Amino acid sequence: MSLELWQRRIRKAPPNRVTREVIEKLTDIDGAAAPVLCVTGDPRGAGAFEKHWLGHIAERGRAAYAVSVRGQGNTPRGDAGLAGKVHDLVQTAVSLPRRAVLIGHGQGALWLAHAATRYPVDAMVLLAPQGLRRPPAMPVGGAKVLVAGSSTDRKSPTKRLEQVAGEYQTAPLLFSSIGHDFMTDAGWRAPLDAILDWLDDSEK
Amino acid sequence: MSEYGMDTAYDRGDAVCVIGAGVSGLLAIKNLREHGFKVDCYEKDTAIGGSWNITQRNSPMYASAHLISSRPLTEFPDFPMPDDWPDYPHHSQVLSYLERYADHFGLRDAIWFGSEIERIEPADRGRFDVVIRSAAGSSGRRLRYAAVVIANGHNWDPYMPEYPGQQAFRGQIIHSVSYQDASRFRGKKVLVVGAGNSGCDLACEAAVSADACWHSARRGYWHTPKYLYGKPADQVDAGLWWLPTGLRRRFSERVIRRALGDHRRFGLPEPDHRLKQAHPIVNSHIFHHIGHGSIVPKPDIARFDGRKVVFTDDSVVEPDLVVMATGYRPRFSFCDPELLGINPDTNGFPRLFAQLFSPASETLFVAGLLQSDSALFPLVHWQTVAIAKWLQVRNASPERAKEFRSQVISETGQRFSDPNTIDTPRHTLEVSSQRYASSIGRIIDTLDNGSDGAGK
Repeated sequence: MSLELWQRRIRKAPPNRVTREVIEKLTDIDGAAAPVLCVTGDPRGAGAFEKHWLGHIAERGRAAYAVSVRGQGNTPRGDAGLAGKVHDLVQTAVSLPRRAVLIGHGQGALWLAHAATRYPVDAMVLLAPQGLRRPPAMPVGGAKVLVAGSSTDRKSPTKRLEQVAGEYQTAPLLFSSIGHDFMTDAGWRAPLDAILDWLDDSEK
Repeated sequence: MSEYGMDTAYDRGDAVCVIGAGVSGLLAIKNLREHGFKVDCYEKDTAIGGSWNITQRNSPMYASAHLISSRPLTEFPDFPMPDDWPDYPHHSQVLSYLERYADHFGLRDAIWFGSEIERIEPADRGRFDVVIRSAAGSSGRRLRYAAVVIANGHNWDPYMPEYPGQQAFRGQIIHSVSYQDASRFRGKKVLVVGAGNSGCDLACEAAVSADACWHSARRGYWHTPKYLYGKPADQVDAGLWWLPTGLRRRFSERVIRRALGDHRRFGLPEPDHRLKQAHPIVNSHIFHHIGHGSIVPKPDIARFDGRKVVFTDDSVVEPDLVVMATGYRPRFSFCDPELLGINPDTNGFPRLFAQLFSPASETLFVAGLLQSDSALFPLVHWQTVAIAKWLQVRNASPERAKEFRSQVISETGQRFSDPNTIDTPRHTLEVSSQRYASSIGRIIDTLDNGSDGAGK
């Protein structure tokens, strides 16, 4: 399957190049934990993770990065639609010094699901996914998958979460005291901690 | 005598041995590990990169070498090159790409540097004994592996032709392997022999640096420019995938004819084959230099005569330096020829199933022993994925593996290259990228479908 996707991809002209906004927060804690790269469908892009998430991820011992794909945040618009956004995400992931964990929020989860069919993510978290019903193809490299969301989020209803999780042969992790905006809502800390706990556990 | 001497083998269990840490070796380490295998890789040199590391003694690189296939088609399918790199990156960028790949996936701790393979010998149950000699130590170590992937490359053992009178030639003759940069040409009259990609690159360098440059070619080739319609030529070609092969060829030949015109006007022989029936020459400069008179095309050499070189058209030149850009031959001195299907009929070239699997052993593979009409790296990536999946299936169910082997043998019956590819040793390894990828794809699909739940 992934060979076929590759053959199809190289027949098309590659997406044009845009200068991508990447925000990073390195960690002082030495360890073997994989770095984390975040992406959201929110038009703020990387900026959405700046206030709370990146600092907290770094405090928990992982280098933290967030990217704005084309048309988001401070990244200019580009061509190629979905393929262009997936291209931006994969390009950012491979530019990191080590194989990374990717977290995709909202539409970002859709881009991540596509990116993971090309780049062997260390693990991936599909958080409150939007526009994603089933995997475009299974992730390469045997990545561990977590599907998570809020039971009160109408943009990413529980039924859909269960369906997507089922396709990845897992069950969704559900939070209740938060809406769709996991990055800046008042209750951001507990879900993020739960996600990082899952990552720590899955690396053991 | 060391702890694990020549008689008893230290058993590495299920681990796989990879020979060489160039492009193919690195791909093998990463993809085998990704499928759950332990890997020990042995590299003769002290650094990764193989041919792409110009500091290695037998590297075919020279200062001006760039990729001849464009970046998006050349990069590994799961680890793209940075998109702010040029369309045709320099060889030093390719090396830095390989280093980033090794760091990103943490491959370096699997590599033993300064370790040369002396021997590989089949042991019981398809396993292999590998005898390793390190640069420092005097006695060899013998280790036992579940499988061996040979990735020692095929562009390091120079091939030198022999012409009459060559030994007595009073100028200097070198092989392109020892050519590094244009300073070698300064103040000299240079004859470059061979019209492959290195030959054309070197002739173009001599055109601007040497006092005179002649370029000898045995036959006419198609020269594809690096750009067509303002796009890398291979991307234009890849966009035509939907056309039947014959039409696609006719279209490409027409485009090249329109851009470059009649080869004979430039003093070059007409190509004696259709496009893609010989390894492609991708060079935008050679016609330019011929047009400026700074490269003078010549036919094949008839003989050397004292200080002179006589060509088959009886013309005579007096070069100070002759550069043989006549290519390389694969060499597997550590291994019984039969294991790789090498026999007197094969000219020293292996005959492998699907140009990958040993015909004599289920657990011996040669990765990267290909020449492709497009980029090579992705094909080797898929080769190493196929090896990993094959070993997974074989571990889970040896019976099933036997069935797959018969499919692999039937894929071998497929033609990987154009049926009319010109028949010279240089083209023994030639494959059509599209056909070969599809063939490896079918092998991977069969292995995937047959290993439901059996793998990791």
